[in-house]
Amino acid sequence: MRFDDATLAQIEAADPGASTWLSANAGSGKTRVLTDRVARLLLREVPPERILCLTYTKAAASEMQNRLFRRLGEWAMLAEGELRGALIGLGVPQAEVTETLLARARTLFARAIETPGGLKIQTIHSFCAAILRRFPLEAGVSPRFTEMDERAQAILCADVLDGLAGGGDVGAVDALAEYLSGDDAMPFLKALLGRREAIGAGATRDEVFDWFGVPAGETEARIVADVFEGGEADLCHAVSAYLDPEKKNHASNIARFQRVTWDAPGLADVELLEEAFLSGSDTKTPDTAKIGSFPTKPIWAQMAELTPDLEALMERVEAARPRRRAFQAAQKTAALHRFAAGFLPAFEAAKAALGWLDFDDLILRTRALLSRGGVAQWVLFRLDGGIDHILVDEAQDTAPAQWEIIADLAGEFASGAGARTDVARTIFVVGDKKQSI
Amino acid sequence: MKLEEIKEYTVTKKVGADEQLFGSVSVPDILGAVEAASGLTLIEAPTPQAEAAAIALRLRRAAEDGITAALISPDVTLTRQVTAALDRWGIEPDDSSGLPLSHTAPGRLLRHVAEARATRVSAEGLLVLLKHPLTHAGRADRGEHLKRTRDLELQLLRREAPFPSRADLTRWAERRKNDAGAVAWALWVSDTVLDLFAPEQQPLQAHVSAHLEAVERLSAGPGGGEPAELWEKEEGRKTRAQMQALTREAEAGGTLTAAEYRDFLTAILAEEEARDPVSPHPRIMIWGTLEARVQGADLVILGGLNEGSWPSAPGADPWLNRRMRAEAGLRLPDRVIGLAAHDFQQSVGGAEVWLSRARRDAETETVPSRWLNRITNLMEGASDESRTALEGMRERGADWVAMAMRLDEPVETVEAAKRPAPCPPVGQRPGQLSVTDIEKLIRDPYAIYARKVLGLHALNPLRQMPDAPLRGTILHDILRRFTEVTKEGLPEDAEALLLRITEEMLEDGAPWPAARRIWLARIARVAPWFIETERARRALGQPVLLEEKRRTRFEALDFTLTAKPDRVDVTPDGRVILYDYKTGGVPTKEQEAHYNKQLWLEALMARQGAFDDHRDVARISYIGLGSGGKITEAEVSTAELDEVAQGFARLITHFADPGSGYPSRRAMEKLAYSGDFDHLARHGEWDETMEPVKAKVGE
Repeated sequence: MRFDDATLAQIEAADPGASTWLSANAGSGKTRVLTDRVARLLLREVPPERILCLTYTKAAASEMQNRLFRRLGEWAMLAEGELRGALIGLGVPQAEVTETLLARARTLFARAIETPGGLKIQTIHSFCAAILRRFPLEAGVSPRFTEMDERAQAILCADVLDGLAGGGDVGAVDALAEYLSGDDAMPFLKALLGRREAIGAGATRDEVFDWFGVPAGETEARIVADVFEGGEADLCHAVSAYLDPEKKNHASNIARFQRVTWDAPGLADVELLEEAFLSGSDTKTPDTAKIGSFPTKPIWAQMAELTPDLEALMERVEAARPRRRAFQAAQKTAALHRFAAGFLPAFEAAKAALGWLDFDDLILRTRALLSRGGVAQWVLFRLDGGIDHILVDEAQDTAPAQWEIIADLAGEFASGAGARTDVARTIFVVGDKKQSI
Repeated sequence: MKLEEIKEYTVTKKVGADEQLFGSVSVPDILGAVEAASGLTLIEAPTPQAEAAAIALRLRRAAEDGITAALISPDVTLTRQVTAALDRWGIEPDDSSGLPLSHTAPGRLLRHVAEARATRVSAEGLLVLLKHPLTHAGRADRGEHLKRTRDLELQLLRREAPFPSRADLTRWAERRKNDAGAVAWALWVSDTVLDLFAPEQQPLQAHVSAHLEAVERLSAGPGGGEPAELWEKEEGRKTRAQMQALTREAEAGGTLTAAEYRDFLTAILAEEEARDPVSPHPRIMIWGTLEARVQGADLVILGGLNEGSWPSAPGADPWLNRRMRAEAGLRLPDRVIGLAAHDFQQSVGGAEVWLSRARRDAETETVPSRWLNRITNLMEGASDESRTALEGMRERGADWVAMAMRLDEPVETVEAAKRPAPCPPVGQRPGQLSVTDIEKLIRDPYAIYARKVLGLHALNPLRQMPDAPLRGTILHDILRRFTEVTKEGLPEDAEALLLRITEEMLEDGAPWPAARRIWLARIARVAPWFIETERARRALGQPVLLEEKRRTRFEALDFTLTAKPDRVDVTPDGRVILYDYKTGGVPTKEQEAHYNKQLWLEALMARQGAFDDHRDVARISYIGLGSGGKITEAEVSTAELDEVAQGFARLITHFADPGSGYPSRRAMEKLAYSGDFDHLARHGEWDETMEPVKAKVGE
């Protein structure tokens, strides 16, 4: 029998003896490679319950199960010659295709179908849910928890938000309200929940201001006072006289000077002067005062009587931009953390009261369970004799927290003291870099 | 299938226990497969709905043939769908499982009342309780109750009271004419429903007695006394018995919140079932897998043969794993699969048997039940004869599925509707419109036809949400109040005053705490800008009219225009400035040129004397309170107003012509824009690329 290159590559990838990381493009038969590998593991007398195959979607999981059952079902019914051909076609070395192996191949259909607890071809979320149901005490979840969908999550978020606004923590809601545009807070809340780990308990205002390098005692008034020393209104008015309202960029600078509240300036007014006097942040000389070239070199030259004062003002504006940005970013970030510090614990408490877990909880709780020293071993030991082979599909879409779970499971293979040393263990990962989201 | 007719697997070598379980090393031989399979039909429907329809169709045939037929399935959703499909032919199957008490009429009422104790009653929740068949039941004046409920819904709940209060109900009742009992009824509703809310922790005993008392009071009606129908029929008796049992044991129940009590009650009610008292069909049955063991039928349909359903997957539990259980001599979780296999094996031995599954569920493709998978795999590969037999089973099934699908195909194809442009008689056309209606008339004339000629109005939603239209209404109210109290001049702390008014108005108008804070913050952001520009406005003129409805008669056109301008200011020299507040953005020049004529038409009305003696309009101004605030304004000249007057006359004259129609969606800004009457106009059967088709109507 002869194979073409692609087939040979698939066969090699399906070799069950080796751990493999396979990068494959869409349409190159990834699902087939996975199915083939499971089939070859089964031929090697790996009990089906020891194989964990993680797919990205539920649809992919059931499709793969059906494909595997079809393949094994055919084997059960093929005449000897044909079965021999099928196994060699799968890449089993000719010498290994013995009477015993053929006999075994025929039993695999029924073995796989009757796998105790069912084949573990599932999404990582289903797998995590199953683990948490087995170890609720260790994971700190209700033994009868309900997996909540997006709709339930949205309704609960709205309830929690109303609870805070109704007296639970009005300050937290106000911190959000100050920056929320639009009526619907849900897109923001979803994004926040997706990053709940990173935010944790929420940082204090001082900590946040420290991250942005904002010195203690910095205030809006100070930044403004360091720009507006007095006389700027007259200066800019005089500058305006040199500008040509017919030219678009001149006209917008005139408009900016008109919009500045000269008698009681704020950060917005500092920003207006920045727009007029500084180069953009993505230009070759970013955030630099256009000294000598505002608005053009010839006009700058004409304004000679104004340029000493103008130059000083422009330098003050240049110095203010990073301070203003850091201050405003810190304010916004502090508001985010203030809100998170009120919202996240309330949301967790509401979920706990109902015995609900969302999709992220399934992953995070399982990871927490498996990363605790000694627990992963215990979990694997209790998990019906453990898992010897892990297969991961659509690896490009697997999130870091999910990888850590897989790594924990795989790590136990390599080092776990409770692990059996007499069986081979492998991990097999298929992904497509190009489709990575 | 007669199992004994299938020859045992041919075994070529000594068989170990393992092989007995998992099959033989050589291909088995099956004799007489075609004959054995002749009574078998295999349904592999594309969807669960199609599966239910095919099964229902076969059961209908069985009813016609006078044979006994039983659907056996552990899948309750499937059996419910089949029951629903059979309803089309008036066949009520004899279902061995009843309805859980939580789903019966008294059970539902108990749950609704428990819900009202746990969460604040909304307009929707109030109607759920008032419209329940056991509320105010079995009394002579139930008709009155239903009439008042309906009026309450239309006049109060859908308009103004997302969370109705006692005062709202009383106010509504006092407004009713010729309804002597209305006030007493409103009081009863307030007492029995609005006062239920008591979410805090209480002993279970207190919950049960308060809950039962509330349910009985609701069912008895305003006259009081014993409830008439609540505890009647099997469902009522069983529900009462379940509640009495709960009352007896409540002492040991500890304390819980009203929400916990609600969930607990639902679980308690779901434990028991009541059978439908209607006498079902004598020969069409639905059995659970267990009942099927002791009974037989001429035709047996095994439905829902998918993994996870039949057999169901043994759930993961926190106890010992399989090996530990085996070592300790305990039963394995897989025992339930063995029992299910036993059920299957017993059921499949009838004279005529259907094996049925759906290839997909709502989300994904399904995995066939292991037994079905084994049977089809065996028959497919054993011999040509067995494969033919399997194909026969599949074909018979496919025929029924195809027949079931045809049931829902229309007999005749109905031609797609044309884009309508109805031409009603001139006498029926509106002789009066508001300035905002004129924009509608330009952009979607059909909507004006539906509202003004047909007299249709879209109902407000029952479940009101803090959405953009509501925010707009409240914002207008806030600005009206603010302008009213500052008519004599803006105070120094005008911004603080505006925010104080905002808080008050939000308190009354937006009973959603989070939305209230978010809106307050939005208004606070734009407040400095608003006050700053307001000082400039006050320097120009003084507000004289706030949201007052005025009308202007255009004799030449035989037409009346109405308007309720947000605000009319008058300058010291007696000229008029018209203002319109916009919650979001202000109209662009193009929008104003083509359809946003509101302020221009108001200016026209001013010229005709609509706003008292203030006839001379100086300027019109849109005040946008979206992000940051924005104003667009225009000086008004006589020439421009003349042009507006001419355009307006052309528009009104056009629609006064009996030959002019009211086309649907004439000039939508975006295709995604949806109107209240698009469905009536059967938009979707046509699209905007098609010419409107005029049709004389109403003659």
